[in-house]
Amino acid sequence: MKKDYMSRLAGWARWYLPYWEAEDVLEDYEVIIGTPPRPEAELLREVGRPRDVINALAGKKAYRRWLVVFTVLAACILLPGLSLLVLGEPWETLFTRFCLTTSLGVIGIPGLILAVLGFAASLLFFRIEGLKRAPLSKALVAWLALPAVWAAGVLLLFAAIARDPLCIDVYVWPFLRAFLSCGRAPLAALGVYGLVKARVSDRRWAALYVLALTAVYLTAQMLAFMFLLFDPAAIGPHVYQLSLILAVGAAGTGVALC
Amino acid sequence: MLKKDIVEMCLLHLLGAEDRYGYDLLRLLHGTFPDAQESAVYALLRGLCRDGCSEQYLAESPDGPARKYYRLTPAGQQKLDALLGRWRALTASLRALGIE
Repeated sequence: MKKDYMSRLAGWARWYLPYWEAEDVLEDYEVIIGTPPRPEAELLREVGRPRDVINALAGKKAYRRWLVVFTVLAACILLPGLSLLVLGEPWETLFTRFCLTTSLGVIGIPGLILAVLGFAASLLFFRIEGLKRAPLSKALVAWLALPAVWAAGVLLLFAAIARDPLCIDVYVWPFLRAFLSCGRAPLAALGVYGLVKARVSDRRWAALYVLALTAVYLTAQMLAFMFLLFDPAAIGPHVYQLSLILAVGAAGTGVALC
Repeated sequence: MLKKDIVEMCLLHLLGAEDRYGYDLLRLLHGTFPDAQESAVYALLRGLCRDGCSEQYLAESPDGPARKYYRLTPAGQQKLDALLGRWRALTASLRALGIE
């Protein structure tokens, strides 16, 4: 069903404007549009298209800042999430082997920068510029289950393979890798959806981004582990790295939901 | 002088006369400039607030809940004087060309 004029206006206002300005503008437009609302055709003629109405009000500087934040946050999840699908196998190898794994036993510098930037910037930005609406959306809780289940599956798989590398048939191995690689793409898309919802609906949707980011990095780390499987010394650092990502992700999700 | 300046001048002039309810301002100006959309006038009104030329406050309304009123600030008065100066110069130039 086509959304009514006010709903479309609200959507654009919350996308273009900081929440305090968006709420003020929407309050004014409740009056301008009238109760009951004027006919749609009249509103389009006398007031204008909802997107144009809000675009005329948006401070260019504030909107550009939001676009920069959105682009950076999206890149933090899309780069590891889509690396195989978009950039191909060489990049995938480079990313999983050299960005996420080092001999120091901690996440590599490029991976660390992307992950920390994604976690910190999303929590900070939406804490400052986001609006919390009570009560917590049931849809958010349902969506959170997806990356949570995926992350749990990755961790169970890691535990099983670390205990006995031969527990998985050698013929299944490439399919498993392909599944894990491709599974990151919908997770990344889910994270970007969380970003959009955190801007236009409720800042607690940033939790979806944080949890999806966690699941993407856990998966990338798991793939790195699968590359180095037959090096017994690799298990210890990977346990540490996976635990670190999980702890930061779980804490970040909790903070985003508060 | 652009149409935007003329509409701003009208908004400031109306606010100079008395504090006004935002929607009344929009209706008045839309009546005077029918080809200007209400949203364009509203954007100018918010722009004047953002620039410190006007400010808003909530006040009781005789027929309903509290309404948002706008009033002129000293900066707004200065801007109005400047716009009126430009307007008078423009109309004098037009008169000199024989346009009444």
